[in-house]
Amino acid sequence: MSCDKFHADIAAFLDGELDERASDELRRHAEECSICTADIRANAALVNTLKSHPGRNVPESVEARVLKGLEPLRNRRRQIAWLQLLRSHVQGVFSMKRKLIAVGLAAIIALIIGVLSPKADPALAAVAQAMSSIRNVHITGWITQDGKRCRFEGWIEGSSRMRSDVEGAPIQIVDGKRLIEISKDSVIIKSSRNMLGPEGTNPMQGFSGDFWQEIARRSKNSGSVKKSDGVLPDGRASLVLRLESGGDRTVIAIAKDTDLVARIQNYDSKNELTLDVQHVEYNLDIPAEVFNPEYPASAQVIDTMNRKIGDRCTVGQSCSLASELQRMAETDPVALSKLASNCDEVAELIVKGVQTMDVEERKRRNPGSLNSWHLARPIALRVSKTHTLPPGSELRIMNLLDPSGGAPTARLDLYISLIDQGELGYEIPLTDTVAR
Amino acid sequence: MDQDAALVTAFHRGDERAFDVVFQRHKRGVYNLAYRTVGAELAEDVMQEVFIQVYKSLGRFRSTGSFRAWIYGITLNVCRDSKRRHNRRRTIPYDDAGESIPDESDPSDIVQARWMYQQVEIGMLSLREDERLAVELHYLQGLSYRELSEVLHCSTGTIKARVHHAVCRLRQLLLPSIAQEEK
Repeated sequence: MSCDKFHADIAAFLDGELDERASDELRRHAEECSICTADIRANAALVNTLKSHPGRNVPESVEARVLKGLEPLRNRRRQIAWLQLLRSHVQGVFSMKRKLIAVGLAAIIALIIGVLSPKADPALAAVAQAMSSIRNVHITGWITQDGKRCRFEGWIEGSSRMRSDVEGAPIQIVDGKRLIEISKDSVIIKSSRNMLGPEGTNPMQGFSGDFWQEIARRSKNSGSVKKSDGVLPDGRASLVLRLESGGDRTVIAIAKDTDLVARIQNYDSKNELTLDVQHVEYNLDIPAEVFNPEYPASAQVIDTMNRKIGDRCTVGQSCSLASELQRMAETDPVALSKLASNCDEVAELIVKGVQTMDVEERKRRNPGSLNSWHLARPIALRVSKTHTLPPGSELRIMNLLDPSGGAPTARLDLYISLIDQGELGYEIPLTDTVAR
Repeated sequence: MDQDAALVTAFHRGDERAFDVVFQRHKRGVYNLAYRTVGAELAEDVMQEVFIQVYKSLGRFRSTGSFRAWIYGITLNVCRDSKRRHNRRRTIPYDDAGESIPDESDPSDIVQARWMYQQVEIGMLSLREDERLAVELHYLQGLSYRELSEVLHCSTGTIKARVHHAVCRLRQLLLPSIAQEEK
């Protein structure tokens, strides 16, 4: 009989997953067939290796994080279990009227919640519980700064994306850790949820279960959390929390029927920025296109920027460098062309410019301010040593937010482009990108 | 009654410690499955979400089905959601961080064990996803073909074919290593 018939059965035979009749047939065949016997032996050796493969250890930090994330659920279950136990006990022991028992139970329940979670505010513990069940959030609202107002739309879960449709000058939200995609009229930001630390002023943390556990824990003993009743625009009753820290204020409205955050208003005094999350939707599927560039111009700029800057560098603003190179491009393009043909000089110029800007701007300006967004770390762009400028070309600093070539503003990103006889797309080839 | 079923029953009765045991029994399998399916970067989030879902649903789990099939089914669903949300096809590179090498007294055995470990990991990553899942869940996590068919939503005949193809492929890749190890 052909070995092919048995070949496909060998794995199942060794796994004990072949029925008795087929197993007997295979055994009888193997007794007479040295090829299949060798196959069985080889498979057995492989199976033993696979079965004894230990796999990866779960990192302690991961295990700790998972268990911590389960704590709110477990606390809630413990409370319910206590209440159920108590209810059965009370009903079994006492023969009071049902109404009296209910009154007594209500008091005992309140006592038990207080005893079991002595530091947590019960109402906020319920919010923490509800917010911990959130998978993803879709928010829309407004950002206001310096009289300018931007509408934004964001998704939060593992990654978040914020998009702002700009009225007037653009506003950028920067913490130096996020990937920022810039197009002519939108800003797309992707950031990890893990980056939303408790110290930050980013109100996105208001949608985190961890944040609410902390608020619930602190609220009883902290005078900085004030509670009041309110009404949401759609008429639902809400619990309104006012959190103040330094000059910053955050007002959060929680729908009483769901215990979920329905609105957040945040005033960041350092940046004089107001963020108003007006509409929130929970546990929706995030559409695939959310993380795709929506505008052709955006894709082009991002592609160019990525090729030039590379993955290893933080993309940042370089006002003084931009100004310096811009000035050279305008006043002495020949000198700049010569510089560009000598890669070392250009690289030196760029590093010096960025480092100077970084130190001086940090001294003069408020770090982290939206008005003084600066490089998180200096970067140097190294220009190809073999490159020579084509005749009639010029070097121009482009405003990323206005690829048609507007004047540099206080919020320019550095974008070096070589314009060959007025046509975009001829760029200085960058052979390497160096993070310092 | 198997141990998982006994733990679920204890949890139904309100014994919170039963969940701790469930966690300890399955954390490694869930983490490894997530690691090889979505990569190190997302595996942590997947593991978190899986055990939250398990905790929430454990009260509703009835021991008529296989617990292992149930928990690995949840893991694969969360992995799929995670991959969809991050909108990318992932190529999981081999990474030796966190690898677990058995204790050996002889240094040459340690080197050999590490080498074999890496060969298996690389071999697993070279498989088609459906074949890798079949091998991983069957040989590494110990699920039967019937349990695999529950998790992967296909017939046991399909599972048998996947395991067969995967074993053939792994044999080509790993047998020279195994033969060398046996020398």
